[in-house]
Amino acid sequence: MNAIELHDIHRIFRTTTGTIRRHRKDVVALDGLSLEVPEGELFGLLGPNGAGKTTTIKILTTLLIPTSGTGMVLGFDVVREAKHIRKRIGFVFGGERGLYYRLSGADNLRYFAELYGVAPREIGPRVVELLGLVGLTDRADERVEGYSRGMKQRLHLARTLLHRPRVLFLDEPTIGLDPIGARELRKIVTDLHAEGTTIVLTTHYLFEADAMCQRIGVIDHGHLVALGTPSELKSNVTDLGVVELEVFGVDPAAIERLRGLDFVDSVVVEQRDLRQLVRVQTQLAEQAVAPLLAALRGSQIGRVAVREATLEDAYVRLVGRVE
Amino acid sequence: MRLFLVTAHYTFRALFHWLRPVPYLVNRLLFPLVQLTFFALVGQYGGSQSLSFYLVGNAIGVATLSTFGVSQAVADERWQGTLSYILAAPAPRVPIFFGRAAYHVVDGMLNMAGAFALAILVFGLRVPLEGVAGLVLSMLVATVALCGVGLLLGAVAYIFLDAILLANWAMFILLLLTGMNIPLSELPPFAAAIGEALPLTRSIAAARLYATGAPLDAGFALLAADLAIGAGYAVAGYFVFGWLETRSRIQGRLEGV
Amino acid sequence: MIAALRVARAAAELQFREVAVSGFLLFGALVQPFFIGVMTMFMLRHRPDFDPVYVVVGAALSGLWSVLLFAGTSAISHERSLGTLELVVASPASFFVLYGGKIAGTLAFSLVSVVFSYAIGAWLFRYPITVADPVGFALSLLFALVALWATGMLFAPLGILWRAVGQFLGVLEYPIYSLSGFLFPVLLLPVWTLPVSYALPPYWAAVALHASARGEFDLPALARVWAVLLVTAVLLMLVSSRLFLAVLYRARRAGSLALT
Repeated sequence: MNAIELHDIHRIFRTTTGTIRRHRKDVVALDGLSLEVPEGELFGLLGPNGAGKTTTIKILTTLLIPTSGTGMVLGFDVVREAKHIRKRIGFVFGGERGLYYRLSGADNLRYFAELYGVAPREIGPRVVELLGLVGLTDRADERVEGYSRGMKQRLHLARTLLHRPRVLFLDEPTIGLDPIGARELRKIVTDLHAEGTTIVLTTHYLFEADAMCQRIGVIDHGHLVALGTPSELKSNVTDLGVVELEVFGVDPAAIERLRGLDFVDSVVVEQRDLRQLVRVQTQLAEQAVAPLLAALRGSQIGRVAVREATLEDAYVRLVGRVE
Repeated sequence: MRLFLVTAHYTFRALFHWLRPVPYLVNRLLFPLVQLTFFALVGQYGGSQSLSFYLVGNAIGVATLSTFGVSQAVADERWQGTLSYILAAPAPRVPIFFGRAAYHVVDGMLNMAGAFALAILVFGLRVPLEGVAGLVLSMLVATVALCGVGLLLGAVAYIFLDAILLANWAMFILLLLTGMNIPLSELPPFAAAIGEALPLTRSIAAARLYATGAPLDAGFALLAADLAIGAGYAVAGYFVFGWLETRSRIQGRLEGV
Repeated sequence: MIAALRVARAAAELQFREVAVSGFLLFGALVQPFFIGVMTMFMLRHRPDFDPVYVVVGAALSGLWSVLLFAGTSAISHERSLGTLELVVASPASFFVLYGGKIAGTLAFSLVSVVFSYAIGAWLFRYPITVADPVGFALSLLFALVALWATGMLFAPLGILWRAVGQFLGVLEYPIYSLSGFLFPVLLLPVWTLPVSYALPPYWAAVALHASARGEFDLPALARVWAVLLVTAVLLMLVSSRLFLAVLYRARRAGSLALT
């Protein structure tokens, strides 16, 4: 059975602006999204900000109703059978909110355990077990308002596992975590997946998606622009090489000159402290270096490197930008 | 003068930044009317004073909302982190802070006008023509004097950190002790003494005189005294701000204590 | 059923803990009834039939109502600001039951108004505050809590539907004091408002409490008032339960459960 099925989902948000005369504006968040995720898969959903990832997750977690189209989670309709879905799924939206900061970590878990119908005699042991899993045993009785961001994120993960969900939705779970915390969280996620939980993960960290996910869907402007295993997505860019140029104070006109070169696929500029990293995707690789340097005449160039395309480059090719 | 007007204008815009008429109508016009109705009917049921006693008292008492508006506006400067910019600016403080109060005076006058309209049209309050000017003057003095209380409260809120709670206390104290619903002569001596030291008490007394058709000069002494008391609160607020500013400079924090 | 009660109990406990530390709600439960009680005591004591219990009961009801009004509506906006509203709506627990627990927790907290109002009459004014029919009064108080609880259940749909509801709450305090006859008989109001009063459970709560405190009704008469109270409460519950479903569906449609 498929854990998740979305068929031609459209979701339009209507906003109003203006004060005396109010104007209505329609924002298309999802524009015909169709997707299937089989049970037991660890699926990654990538896309730039505003692509529709969170909207998709909210529809699947029954918080949002699609404007049109059908959605099913574990065979239940997301609109009409929300109650059945809610018993079987868990979700974490990234960030520090979503906890009762005046309660302790343990009390937060006990409260949510009641909401999720965990049997009374099971609540105590389950809370202890999950606090141990996420490494919060020592801080369990402290108020959440004193927790660090990473601790709150781990508590969220514990919360979402109270009722042993069959499907987990993790919306950017490692955002804002330090590298060690993020690594620990990824291990928990992969262990859960090994136990058979279906996991849908959204992330901005492409290396994370590459390492963890069995399949990745790339969403942009509300619809799927690519779907496949990380290897399949990377195979779309085997023709590409990437030239990375470290530049100090790059001139926008120079970037336009780069973009105008016929062997250049895309140019992405990343600000790193006082310098910019200009990443050029091109079919020419080493042969491109000299013409690229010529196009950047007048700019102060630091390091130059040529490498193979990664998943991130495949992503950039698909959505045209890095965020 | 320009500083005064500009500050007043931005105060109004900031306070009702929704720029929608509904919250304004509901909170600033409807609320005073329902409060007046409640106390007028309790008073009528109690029967110890005439209905006009309660109507005039509560209609003028609507000016207490100015207290709330001014203290909130001042407190908002702290929450929005703009206080440090204002205190650090070379412009004189007095026009700025009185600019804050100006729009609340206009606002307060509108609220009281609405309350009197209700009292006249629904409850049948009769105000002789010769008393109207005096009533309007009482309304003006009441709201100006209470802005002084609002400024002091706004300053004190920097210490106690909750302008809304302080303003609620102030509103109820004014409701109880300024003769709006209970003549000061019926209160215990200590409570009556507090009432005498509050602005609004004399404005209400003057308004009750004018509501019976008394000439304009009949209430001048009362209104002048109320203005002076209100000014005293404003000056106290100014000095509290000054003290807070000095303290904050020593402690290295400008945004409250 | 048991699971639902557990959800309600957990929500009630959490709400009690949240409101008990709120300075604003403590003001509503203690300070506001103090001022209203003291004022109305002065205003009504010249009546030939003055009974201080009338003011104590009225002040207590005003405290109960004000706390319920503010805590009940702010429960939703508070959850929204914490980021927990989406989490609780998306849980399998019935939001209606959960919110019912919150209202119950709020009412438990607001009972302090009753004690405080008694203290005003008995200790501040040194009146003998005695209740003519203690059993009838105690039962009436229980029914009053049911009445207020049923009325409070309407707030959640309002709070979910309308983020700005907090701006308008102040306007609902005094009208309910007036229309429910907490501190003066509703017959003083225009006759066209009477049907509104009769439709309000708090009105029947005030009738039962005032009557049992002053010994004005015998048990059968009180029972009739309780019956009407229950009918109005049940009708209000039916309306609010339908409203809950409609509002939650609408919120899911609009995506308005989150803060942003």
